[in-house]
Amino acid sequence: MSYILRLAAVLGLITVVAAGALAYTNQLTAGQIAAQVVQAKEAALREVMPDAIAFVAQPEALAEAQAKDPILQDLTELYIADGLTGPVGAAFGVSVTGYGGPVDLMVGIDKDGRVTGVKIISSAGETPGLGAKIKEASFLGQFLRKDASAPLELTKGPASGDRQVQAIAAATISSSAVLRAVNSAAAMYRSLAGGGTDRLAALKLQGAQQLFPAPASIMEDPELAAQLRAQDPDLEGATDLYWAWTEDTLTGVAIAATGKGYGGPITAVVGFGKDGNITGVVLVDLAGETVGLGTLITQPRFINQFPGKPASPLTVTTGTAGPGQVEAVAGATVSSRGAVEAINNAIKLYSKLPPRN
Amino acid sequence: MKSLVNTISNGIVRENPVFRLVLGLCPALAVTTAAENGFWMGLAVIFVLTCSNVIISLIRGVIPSKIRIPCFIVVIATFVTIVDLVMHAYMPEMYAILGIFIPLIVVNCIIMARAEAFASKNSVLLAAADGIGSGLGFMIAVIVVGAIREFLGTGNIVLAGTALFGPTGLGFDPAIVMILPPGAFITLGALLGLLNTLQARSAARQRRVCP
Repeated sequence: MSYILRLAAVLGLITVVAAGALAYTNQLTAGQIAAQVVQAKEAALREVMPDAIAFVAQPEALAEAQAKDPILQDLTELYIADGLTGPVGAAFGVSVTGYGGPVDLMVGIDKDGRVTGVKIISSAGETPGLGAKIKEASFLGQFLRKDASAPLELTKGPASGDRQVQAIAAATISSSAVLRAVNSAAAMYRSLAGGGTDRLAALKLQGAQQLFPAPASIMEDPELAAQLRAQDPDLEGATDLYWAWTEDTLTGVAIAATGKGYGGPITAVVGFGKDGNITGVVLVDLAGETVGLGTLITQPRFINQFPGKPASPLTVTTGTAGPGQVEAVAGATVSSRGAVEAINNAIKLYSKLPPRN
Repeated sequence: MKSLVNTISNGIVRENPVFRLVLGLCPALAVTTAAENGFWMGLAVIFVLTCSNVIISLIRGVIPSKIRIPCFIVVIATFVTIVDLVMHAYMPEMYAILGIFIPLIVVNCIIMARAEAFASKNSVLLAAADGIGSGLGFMIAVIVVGAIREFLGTGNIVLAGTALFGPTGLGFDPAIVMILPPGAFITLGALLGLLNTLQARSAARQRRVCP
């Protein structure tokens, strides 16, 4: 018995001394480490927005935008960059998954909507000689002066046109991680600048009015939508709720929701009739979809599949659609899936509505 | 004094941890994508190895044999964490380069092996010498492997920001496989084979010389 106690005592003593040494070292270095992190961040901010003299962090605005649009989840920080006469732009901290781990970046966009700089803060998981080349100016320099008003694309060959960036040879995964980060920053920029959210709100209301035309009148119900969303985190894709009243009778419900499209979020407004079936779908925002391919989801042959379907989750098929399925647009499967994701998010919220007469 | 020098050179040549004892292969394969990585990793390992050898040698009289392994691990992990914190605070560029490999030193077999085979059975000075020697042996090994892989895999060797063979290298098309995992195994295997052959030849020559 005392032998065991001796073992425990020796091990315990060693661990106590070790813990003491570690606590002491930690105390010595913690302040310096925190200062390093801040210094690195400030250096990155100055590098991506050289014209700014001060940066103001905006965590609340970021959280608000992320709550409205789940596509912005990659963003970690938001800074408004101030120059001598006022704001000159914004800097965005983004964290994406690269080849072998997270890649942290800082992206600067000026108030004309042009990218002023992209800096990789950490990319430890990328392979030296391959993915680690994303730190080089020859790759990152391509993003300079690119317009942030629409998502950029990656190509393996030389970039043609202003919307394309050439990937690093044999480092496609690392390159596309950087591209996703810049596109996320640009999406955040769009939602901040030029009243983007106001425009979207107007479009959503318009969509609801299209689904339930006169003599029906549309009444927005943000409180019930917020209440249901707060109760169930699964409902974060559904953003707005509209009641359609004709005289004193409730004729239907319209719900706005988002899904993840090819190059950005897809926003759809789905109308539900009194019988619980879908009356129609209006796509109000698909800015990230490829023109001529993804944008074909607005065509009748895709959109007209939804009216008459019951309000239960749908799946996308590339062949002939059976019950509970819709057929994707050929060559635009990702966009089709994104639209159906938005519609399914609307269906989820519909199923959670309290019964009304 | 002679035995100290002997111990150090033992760790570098006769009992080189990577090439002769075939220990510490995880970092030898993973970190060696560039020669410079090997240098900084080697420095960290020398520090941890020497300090842990000294401490373990100091307390070798009081550690009961039954719990020696947990005791070694606590000592090693403590020094690795100290290295990690100090590097993060005062050498951020080096810390960013090595990243995850610093905490991985805890599971580096070399340190456990030297603690068990040498430090727990020898005096403090000898243990320190062994730490320095084995650490140097490890550092030389990973620098060599890293240099070969980097040169063949990227066409150039970059040290402290300067490319040794000029901005465009020597002009040959590099074999990217060398900086990917298969290249690590190929390089290490080839080096081990070469060293084994050299050792066998030198042993044969010695036998012929002796009557």
